[in-house]
Amino acid sequence: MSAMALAISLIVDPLDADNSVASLLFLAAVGLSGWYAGLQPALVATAFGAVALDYFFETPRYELAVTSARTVTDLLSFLLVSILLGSLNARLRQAIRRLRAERDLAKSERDRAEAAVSARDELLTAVSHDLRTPLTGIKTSVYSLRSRAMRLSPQTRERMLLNIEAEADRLIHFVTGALALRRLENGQIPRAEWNGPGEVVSAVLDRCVPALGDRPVTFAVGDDLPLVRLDAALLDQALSQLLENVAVHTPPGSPVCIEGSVREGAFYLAVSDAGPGIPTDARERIFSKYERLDQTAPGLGLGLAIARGAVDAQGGRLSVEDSPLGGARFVIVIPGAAKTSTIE
Amino acid sequence: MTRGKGQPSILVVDDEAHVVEGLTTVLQGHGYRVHAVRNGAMALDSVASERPDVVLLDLAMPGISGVEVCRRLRSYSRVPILVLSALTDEAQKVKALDAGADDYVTKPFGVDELLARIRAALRRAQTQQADEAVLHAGSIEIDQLARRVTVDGAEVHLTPTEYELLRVFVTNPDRVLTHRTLLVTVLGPAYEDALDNLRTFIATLRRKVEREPSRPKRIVTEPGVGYRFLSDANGPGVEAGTQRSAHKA
Repeated sequence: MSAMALAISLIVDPLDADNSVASLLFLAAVGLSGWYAGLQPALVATAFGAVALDYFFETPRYELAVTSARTVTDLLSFLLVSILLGSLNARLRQAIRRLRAERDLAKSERDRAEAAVSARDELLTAVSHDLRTPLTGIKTSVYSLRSRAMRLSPQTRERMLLNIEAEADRLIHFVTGALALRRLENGQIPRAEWNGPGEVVSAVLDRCVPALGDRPVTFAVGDDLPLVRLDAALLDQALSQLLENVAVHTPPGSPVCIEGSVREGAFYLAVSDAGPGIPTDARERIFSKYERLDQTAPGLGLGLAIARGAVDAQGGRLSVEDSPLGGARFVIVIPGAAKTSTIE
Repeated sequence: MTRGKGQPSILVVDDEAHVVEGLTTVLQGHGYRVHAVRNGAMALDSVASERPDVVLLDLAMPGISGVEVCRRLRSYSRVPILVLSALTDEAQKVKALDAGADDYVTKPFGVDELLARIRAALRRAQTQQADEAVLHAGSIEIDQLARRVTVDGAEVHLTPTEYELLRVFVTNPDRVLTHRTLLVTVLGPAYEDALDNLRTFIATLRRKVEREPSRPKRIVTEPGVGYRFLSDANGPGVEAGTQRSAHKA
């Protein structure tokens, strides 16, 4: 910067009788150094300017000797103004940088807050829709049943009562699911205990059999598997969701297979069905909440999010692949669950 | 369900007026006498003075906790206690069962499920038979004098621990027995935490008394809580549909 000032000053020197152009140009160099580089470079530019002014422009030229009072005042006033300018510029620059950083920080915080708010809004919209729809059904049915003006046939009354019951069940299902997911998202602490994997799976299957209806179930979780250390309630939660999905998404009468094994200290549990399967590009997405592949099926898209949450919570993995039965095969793996020493 | 002294009576303990009203209507409609109180202290008084046949106890109440109510009730009464618990008080539920509650239903429950649990509790209260020489539970027979066990008419040989475990199950039919209760009763207080031992004993016992040990129908698992012995293998606790499932394993 100072070199440029020097070059320009030398070029315009013939027109610059009292060296004012040179001084101003060196001051400009100092100012710019202060602005872009900081205080120290500004001081360097000041020193360079003072030396250059003395050497090139003050008489006698081309030597560093200070011979006249004029030169002294010129150089002193240059130094004074230059140091002031350099340090002011450097400080100003610093202040502006800090302000910009603060502004950026505030902006990113605001962005984050806005994202959180919009995620919450999305959730609220979904929740309020899922709550309002059944509530509207219940309110309308109750209104009709109470109204004397409407002469309802016994069949209609019966149907409305059934509607109320079904809608209430839907509400229970949703609230229970949302609550379970919330607890998992908040970091539920697993209660790992020794369990016979077969007996847990068998108990969950007993409970889900009515929902599975006439689907033939192959149960291949032996009661001779080694004990595994896991949270049975969380495994129950995950498996129930998987079986509930089988009941909803696979055709009646289609086969279901539940297989369990313990290999290299890990517990494996696979639920295979003969339903429509999961397309390859959706195999990660389906585990997000409110994600529903089949928009016509009942449900809110919480099931697999709960299942994954319940498996993740105890350090396991839940994934989906093609099933040998033609549909989907969900696999739960809980590493380090078994006593590795059980070699029989 | 008929107990000679007229309709069985149920004490409902819940602080939610609407729940109490709903339960009262349903239970009266099914022929029970119902008395309702709002808190644990009143429940303790009421059990002492009214001697109900079953107590339905809400766990989340102001004042004395549901768990404490179970503990204190057990100091003077063997009345069956059915705990009404919400999803969020899972830990409280297990504590209440450890403290002597018999069974639980999770809110919101279906009326059919609740009625089935009440019937099971009443049946159990009627058939307290621990001191009888020969115990019966479905096709299982325990001759306590000879320490001889037969299943479907055939004698099975049980180790002393398996025998004791089965005896506890048969004398506490249709009741949730927590891991802790079973361990302390069968193995002694020193084994309170020996859950892996209990799992192994249950597995070997099942191989001797269950028709299909990997899909037990008598000694059923309550995941994360304990075990329940079903006096009637098709009875409460197992949904009717279970029998339809095909097992090809």
